[in-house]
Amino acid sequence: MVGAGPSGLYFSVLMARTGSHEVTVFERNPRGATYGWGVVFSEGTLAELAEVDYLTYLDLERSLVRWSAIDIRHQHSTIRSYGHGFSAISRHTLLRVLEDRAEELGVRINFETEVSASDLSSGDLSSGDLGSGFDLVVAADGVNSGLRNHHQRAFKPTVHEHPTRYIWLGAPFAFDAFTFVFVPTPAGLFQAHAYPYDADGSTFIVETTEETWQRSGMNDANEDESVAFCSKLFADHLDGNPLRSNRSLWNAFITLRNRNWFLLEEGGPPLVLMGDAAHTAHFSIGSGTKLAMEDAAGLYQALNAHPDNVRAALAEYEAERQPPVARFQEAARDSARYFEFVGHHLQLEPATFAFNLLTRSGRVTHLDMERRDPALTIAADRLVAGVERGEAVPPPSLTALGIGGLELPNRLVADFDDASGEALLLTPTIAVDDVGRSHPGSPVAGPGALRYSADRVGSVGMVIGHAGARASTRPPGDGLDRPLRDGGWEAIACSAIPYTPAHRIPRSMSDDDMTRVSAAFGSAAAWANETGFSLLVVDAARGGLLAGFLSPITNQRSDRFGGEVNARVSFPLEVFEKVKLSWRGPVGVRLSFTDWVRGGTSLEDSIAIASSFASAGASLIEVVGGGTVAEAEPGYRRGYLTSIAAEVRQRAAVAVLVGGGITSRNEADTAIAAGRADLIRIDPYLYRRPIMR
Amino acid sequence: MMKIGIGLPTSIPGRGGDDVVEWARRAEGAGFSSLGVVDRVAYDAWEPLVSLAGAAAVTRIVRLVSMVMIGPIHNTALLARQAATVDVISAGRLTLGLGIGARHDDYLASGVDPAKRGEMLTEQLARLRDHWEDTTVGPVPFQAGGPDLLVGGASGGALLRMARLADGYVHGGGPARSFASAALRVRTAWEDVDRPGAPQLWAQAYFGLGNPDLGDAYLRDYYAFTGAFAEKVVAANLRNPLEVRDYIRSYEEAGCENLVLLPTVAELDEVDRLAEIVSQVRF
Repeated sequence: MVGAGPSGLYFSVLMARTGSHEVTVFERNPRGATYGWGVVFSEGTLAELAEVDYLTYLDLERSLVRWSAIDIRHQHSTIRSYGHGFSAISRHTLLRVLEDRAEELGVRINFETEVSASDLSSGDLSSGDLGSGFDLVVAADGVNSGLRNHHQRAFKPTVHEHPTRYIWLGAPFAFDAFTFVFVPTPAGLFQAHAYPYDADGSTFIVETTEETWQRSGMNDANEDESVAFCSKLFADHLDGNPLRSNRSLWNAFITLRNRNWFLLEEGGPPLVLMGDAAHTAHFSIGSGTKLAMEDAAGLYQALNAHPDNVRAALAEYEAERQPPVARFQEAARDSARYFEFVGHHLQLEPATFAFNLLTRSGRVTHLDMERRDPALTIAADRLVAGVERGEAVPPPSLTALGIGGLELPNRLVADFDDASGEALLLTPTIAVDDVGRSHPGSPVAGPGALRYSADRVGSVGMVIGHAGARASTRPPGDGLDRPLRDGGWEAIACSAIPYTPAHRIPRSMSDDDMTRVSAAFGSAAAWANETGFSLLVVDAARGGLLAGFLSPITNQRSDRFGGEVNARVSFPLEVFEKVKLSWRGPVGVRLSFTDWVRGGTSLEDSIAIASSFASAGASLIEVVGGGTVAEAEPGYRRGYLTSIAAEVRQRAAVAVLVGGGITSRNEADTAIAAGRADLIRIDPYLYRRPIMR
Repeated sequence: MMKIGIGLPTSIPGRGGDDVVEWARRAEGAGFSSLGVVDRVAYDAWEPLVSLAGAAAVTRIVRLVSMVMIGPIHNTALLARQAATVDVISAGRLTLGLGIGARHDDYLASGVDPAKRGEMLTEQLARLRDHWEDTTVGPVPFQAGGPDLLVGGASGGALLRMARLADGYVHGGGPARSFASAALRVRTAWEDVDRPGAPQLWAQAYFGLGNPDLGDAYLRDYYAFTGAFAEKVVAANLRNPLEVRDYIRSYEEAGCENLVLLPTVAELDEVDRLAEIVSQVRF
């Protein structure tokens, strides 16, 4: 066992306890030289620890601090949310308990003993001073694991550096709740994540964005200056106590993943990764030690299940542990992203702000919140519904919403042909003229599109657009973006870039083309006045003509419509204004907020674009992604566009519609109550297949 | 209800020609819904479409599916023609699964540069359809517009490719919960690109019932190039009736539509052993 951290020691305890294994631990540092303050466990983790080794659990249990409240301190208000069971223990105590228990079971812990990969490969470990005849070597030597680094090609690690900075400090008293503190400064927002770990100590992590960190001068600060700065910044929340440091420095958090967790080498013992050496997850969901100790239990159980077959045991360990770790890493990523952007969400109502914070990782939903903290949940729901105390409040997704004079009885949106009670139905994209059709059968504004204005239970929004470089293709049933056999008609686009290598090169739009297209959008909007549509949505997304102007990949113009984002948005804005003038009702805009490729539209530019439309009078922004180019790497997963929607909603101050891997009413309720979106498109197919949720 | 197919033992060294033909016959007789083949060039494995043509000749209703062929190493026009031929011979029973493969040596052996294999597959999917629709190359496929196309791979890029140009997704194996989470992303991709209809969902697993250790050894050899990953494949090998039944049930619950169980042992009795287990699940 290389590394005497929590996972290394716990695994040693579990193995030694069986009486049939001999475990030797090598630890680089001296005994008692721990870094960090306290670690958090959930109720679920504790239950598992109790099940795996009750005696260790009892030892730990005596030193645990337990609480169920989360305090959210923002400016001068504090919201306390109940019902969140947590426990914590000082890291020092945790290690001491595990060391004692391990040594009592006959485990040899060699402190101040460095083990390198060359020791292993040269056979020193198996023949020399350190020990002999190891059947298995466990690398639990932390995020910078030397053993893992030596075998990078086998383990295939990838790292992601988060764009925030944090410093791990301690407070000399026990907070009585998991406490989040948000303190705005002239340089930007700082937040603290604080929780007690024993009777008179708390972990106190301070975090901020990289820009704020630099503006505040903390990028040049040494340890003492950093501690003094944070102590002063959070003085109101520290009762005059200074923060404590333990060689604390500002860092960027690194999320580590490994494709493979074990290695079988000819002539040597197998090598397996555990804990931080195998994976890390952003500290804001406090799961590093929990995952590490679960790894230890997992490996122990796998070895137990395959006593004569280490290979099979390692395969089972990896297969069992990778999926839950990946889920936590995903949740941690969402949580990290929340804190990266939280500075934009401070104007949310306190209950909404709290609900958003508590549901940030995707692991806690509206349903969970109803169970844990009904009072806060009802408060957040009331804010959505705009009803007073004492009135009944419907779930957020069934709450009415007015956008630009259109009254929608609920917050759900569906495609026109796939409706079941949603308040708003959207047509497929209806082309403003023949050139703008995607394929010969695409609907065009006019009599051919009338079927979509027929009576439906919900209000119908007509989506109008122009396919641009994606025009003139075969019908989409057997694949998208396949040009017509006879070449079809000439497409027009912002720049002369074919959508795929098989496409003819589209004509780069002339001034005349722009006038014509703009007029066609105006005519389509004017025609809509004669129909039963309630809303117009201008499709400026997914690689169509207007989208082509917005992305730097597809817009290579050197005239006043190309270049910086303000120039790129100008033609689509002209079109939008034309539509707005020609149409009697509210207008929304569909935008791709990311191109999913390097060099594509940045989130900042996307927000600027959305803000331009909002300022020009858009009543709704529909958040979608991609479509800009045919070959891209979209980040599909559950609710993958929701955090972008939240940014748009806060910063462009406009009603937002979002879908994308949203599979249930509960997910819709969560997003709406948290202030991330106003309208939700639930995937109709997934909605009917509960297992895939 | 989820359909259950069985693989042909075409990639198991030592199988005999007669045995594979008989395997196909028996599998259809036992009621399996499809016959699957896998693809590896630099290994003692039969060519997948030629194998399916052989199976087509001795069967009448069973679906023939590649899961998956390494697309980019094939010339697209010739692949379109071959697939159309199998489709005609089999009276429309071919489903063509394509992927980029996992091995560089398959590309090396085929003389194809793997550097742009993702883009090559994207273009190939579009061109295959063009060939089938435009009938400029090879026979007119039996199925209108050509065989259905499946794509393997769960990266964002692979899912986008699947949603834009294929008819469904083939999952690479593993527990049902990983299939379920992949299926969510598949469906999300489909919704994202605004394709009409719904993607087909296919999955696969290995089994070895009569002599599972032999099957494990085969998998260890077949996947030797993946290093430690081979042990995961071995660990997932379905070695007894209970494991097969649990796997089928969990995949059915997870929304899988077509599960193909791939052999690891080329003994004909394996078909009967699996058929018996499947019939127990079904009734």
